[in-house]
Amino acid sequence: MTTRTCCVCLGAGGILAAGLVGGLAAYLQGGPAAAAQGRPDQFRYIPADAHLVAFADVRAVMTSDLRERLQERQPEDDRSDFESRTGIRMASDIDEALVCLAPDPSDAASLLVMLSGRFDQQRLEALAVENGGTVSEYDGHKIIATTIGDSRLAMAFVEPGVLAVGSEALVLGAIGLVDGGDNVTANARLMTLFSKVDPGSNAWAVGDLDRAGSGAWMPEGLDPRALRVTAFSVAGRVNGGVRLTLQVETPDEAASQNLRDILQGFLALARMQADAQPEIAAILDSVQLRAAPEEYVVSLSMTLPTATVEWLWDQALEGAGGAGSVEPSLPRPSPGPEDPAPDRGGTTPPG
Amino acid sequence: MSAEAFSPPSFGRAVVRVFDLSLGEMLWSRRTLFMAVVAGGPVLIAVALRLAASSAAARFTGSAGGPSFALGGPDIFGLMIWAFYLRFTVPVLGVFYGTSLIADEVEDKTITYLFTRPIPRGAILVGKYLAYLACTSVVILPSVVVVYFSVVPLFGGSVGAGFPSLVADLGLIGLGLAVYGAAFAFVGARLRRPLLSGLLFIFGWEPVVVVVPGYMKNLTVAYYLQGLVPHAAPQDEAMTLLRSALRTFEPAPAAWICVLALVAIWVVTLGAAVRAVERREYVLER
Repeated sequence: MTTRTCCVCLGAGGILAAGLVGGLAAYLQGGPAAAAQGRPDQFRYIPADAHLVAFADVRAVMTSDLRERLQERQPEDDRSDFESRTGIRMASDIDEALVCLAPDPSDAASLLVMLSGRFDQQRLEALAVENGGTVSEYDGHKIIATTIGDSRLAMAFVEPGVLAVGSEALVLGAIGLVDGGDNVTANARLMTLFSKVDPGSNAWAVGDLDRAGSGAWMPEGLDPRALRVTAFSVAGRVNGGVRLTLQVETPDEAASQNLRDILQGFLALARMQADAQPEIAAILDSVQLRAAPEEYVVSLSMTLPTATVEWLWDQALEGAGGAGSVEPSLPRPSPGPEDPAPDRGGTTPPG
Repeated sequence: MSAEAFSPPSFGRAVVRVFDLSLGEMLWSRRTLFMAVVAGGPVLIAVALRLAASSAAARFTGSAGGPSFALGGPDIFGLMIWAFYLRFTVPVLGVFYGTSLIADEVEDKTITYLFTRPIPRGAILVGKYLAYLACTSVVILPSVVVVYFSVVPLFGGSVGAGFPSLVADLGLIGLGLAVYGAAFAFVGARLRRPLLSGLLFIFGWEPVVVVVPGYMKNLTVAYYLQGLVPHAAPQDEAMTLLRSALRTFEPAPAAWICVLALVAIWVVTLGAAVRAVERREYVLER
């Protein structure tokens, strides 16, 4: 090998090595966390046997252009009621919300909500006590519990700025996980689903419906076993407009095909009825239905521009009778810069 | 040196000698200029994007009649890998270099000098093939790294978070070069007009067959290579159209099937190329 050939090879190798070393260094400095799909910190309070986990980057949603537009259309009274009672301003005080459903032998509800942000702890505890809550202590944490119907509900601050609300057993379990232990990250099934969540999503949910009782939360008539659905993940990016992606897993190829046919049928039916409603037709046109028969997965995605979401919001308010003054509006050209984006390198990139 | 003391080099040593000889020849040939242009295009685009983004400091947005969309740095990098490298650079380099490994020697009537050396004929092909891999890797892989660091940080992208994708992309391009190179080395060793056949394969056969329903797409390299692309395509309608233009087959097979198929193609075609070189009698035109 001549000297100049050797120099070229060394130079190219140097560029390659420098790039790989630089990328690896950046990855080790924060990439793994990002590559771990921006796992919420509150994952460590979620029990390993959870069968559904949902997350919302409340701060991102509340500071989005879409939310500001919708807020202008919402009655002022509705906005201030929650704030006046709890002292929590949704727009600025809550950063993230994590919800899980998990088996709980003592409580059929078995729901746990983890909220992180800035809370007036004393005010919230006083409010809970005023509403019949009883104060106790567990593992150094103040628990305020109450009974509603057959369910025992509780709330506790597991750490400053992190509030756990829900089934008493799950709240106690969350406190038990403060010092470590098997949490939902040890649940391989949910983590696999989680890894498929659309990148850049600021709200998502994953659910394992393959276990007995795991679909009990679903509305009556939507039995996952009857539909032959074993798992799902749904993700949304809210900013400017809304981009939604739903992935449903089935046990075999036939079930996958059947589910796709059912969804196609619904879409066709909806399109037939949407002729007189251009807004609905626009929504349906944005729907993309895909099937990966080899993986037994059916996915459905849609992108709703801001104007379409505003129209839907107006319809919802009119339906609720709360916005008589709202002018009916047609979808307008999207404002552009804040429309839903793929954002592979966004704030919660997947691993 | 007496005749009894001489022993022909082993297959491995012969491969190394041919590799050493061929690497310099390939690197300083006119083909390398072509390869530099092919590899330099994405780099220029990446640098231009970087400069445009720095000056504008604004999001890259566009619309195509439907809802508007925005691309982040990792998205742009993914599309560049997809469109520039995997769909064009890798197959084209595979054709130009792979078919020339033996065909050039035949055309230049220099193959006799190689075949009269006391080394296995197969070692000549393998040594040249490895030189092709080294030569193309030396030019293409650094350009991918430059594009990565130029494009990925744009519009909120993270160099660290995308690092696994970079490694996967580099591996994928290396695998593509290896498989296409082996396939066209066989074509070059077996057919009379290998370049024409190769160009017909990558610009005629593959793009057409992958859109035809049925099993025919299994007879392409692109089908399996594309199945391993780690970048999820953006979901917007306009991007879906773009994706459908670039990736014209759905759904992709599972990753392990793609890897297995590519390895099988590589082993079979390289083995067939070695066999063809060892058995075929090359008649030089006078």
